[in-house]
Amino acid sequence: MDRHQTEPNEVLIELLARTALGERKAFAKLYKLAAPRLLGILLRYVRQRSLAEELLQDCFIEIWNHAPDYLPARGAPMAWMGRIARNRAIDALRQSPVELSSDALELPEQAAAASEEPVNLLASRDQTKTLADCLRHLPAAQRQSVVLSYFYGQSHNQIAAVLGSPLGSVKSWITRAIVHLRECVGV
Amino acid sequence: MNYLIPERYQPLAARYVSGVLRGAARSRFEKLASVHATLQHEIDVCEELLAPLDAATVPIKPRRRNWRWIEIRLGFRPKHRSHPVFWFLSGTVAAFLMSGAIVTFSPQLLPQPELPTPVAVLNDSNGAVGMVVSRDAARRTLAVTLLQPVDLPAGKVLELWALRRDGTPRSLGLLQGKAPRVSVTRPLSDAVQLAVSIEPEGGSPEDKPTGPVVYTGSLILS
Repeated sequence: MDRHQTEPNEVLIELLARTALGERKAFAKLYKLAAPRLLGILLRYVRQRSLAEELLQDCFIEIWNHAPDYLPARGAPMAWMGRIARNRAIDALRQSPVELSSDALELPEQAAAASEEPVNLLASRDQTKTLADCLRHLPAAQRQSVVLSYFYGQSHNQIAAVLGSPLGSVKSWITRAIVHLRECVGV
Repeated sequence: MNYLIPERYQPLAARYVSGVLRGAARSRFEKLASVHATLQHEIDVCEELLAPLDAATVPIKPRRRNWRWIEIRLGFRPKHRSHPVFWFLSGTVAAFLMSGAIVTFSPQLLPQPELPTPVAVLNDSNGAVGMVVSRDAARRTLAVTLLQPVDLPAGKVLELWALRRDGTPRSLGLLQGKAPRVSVTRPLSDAVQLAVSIEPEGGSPEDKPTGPVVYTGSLILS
């Protein structure tokens, strides 16, 4: 499967609208199109296939029940479904936190290095190039804090441990990073 | 504490969207955002900002059983199935019995079409029920049942509108014939009310009703 393949917003908006009207066929198609990306997000956070798939089921039950709440004016459908997935994953991580360095990445240094990875992947996509460029212009600590939290679901404490920095600094880096990114991207 | 000043809600929204706001603080912020549009807007902006990071996620195809479980959990399919051998052995007996039953009760045994679900009851200006609007998921339409005759002047038609929370109308189509239907081509999730107006033939020349609004009702999408 192409890593960068995404469905046009219009297709997903229509499928969500039909799902809101109770159309099971539309819901099945929505699942087929969106589930692989949501499972990718969930696995990024919880790192256990069985738990990620259980959460994926929860996500789609929530999507079926709350499809009428989706408003296209408030954002892209994948952003809305991605929020559902992240919230589910964050709830699951509260119950059993996953250490980033406990899986494929054995050392804290590797975990810190991993926070650069998505930036490199983004560089090849036109529509996300702006964000990638803006991320590159952030100070390293801010960039790593945002990527470790948003992309890998790491907590304040985990990021502080990985980067070897005080908790207060991590909180401040994340806030400042978002402010800078908003100014840079222009939203 | 007043969270509605940017110095307070912007860092919270940043930490919420990036995922580091957790536990009770996260729940509290979600509750606040659900009642304060400013906070919700801030969350939406931050999510749109960071969402492209998800493009760097490698899609993973879920195993087939996940969809089956979703269907079961939503009640779309039964949880338990009898063993295939049971069906094979009982098939002959069942077929024999059914052949007799079909002759007697055939209308009841035919697959029943999915019934349209009412989504709005429209009243006239006196509060009297005038129309029921139902969704027909199978045909992707809204079906309108007229409960009382409408006296339309010559050259006039009825037009169905969806009204958003801010009152902006969107035409859903003209109501023609005894059992009118309109196609659902765009999401209704942003609509809170339906309304019917009297318009010139061909429909309103503008993006809003130009004639009198004769029926209104709240939209219930469940």
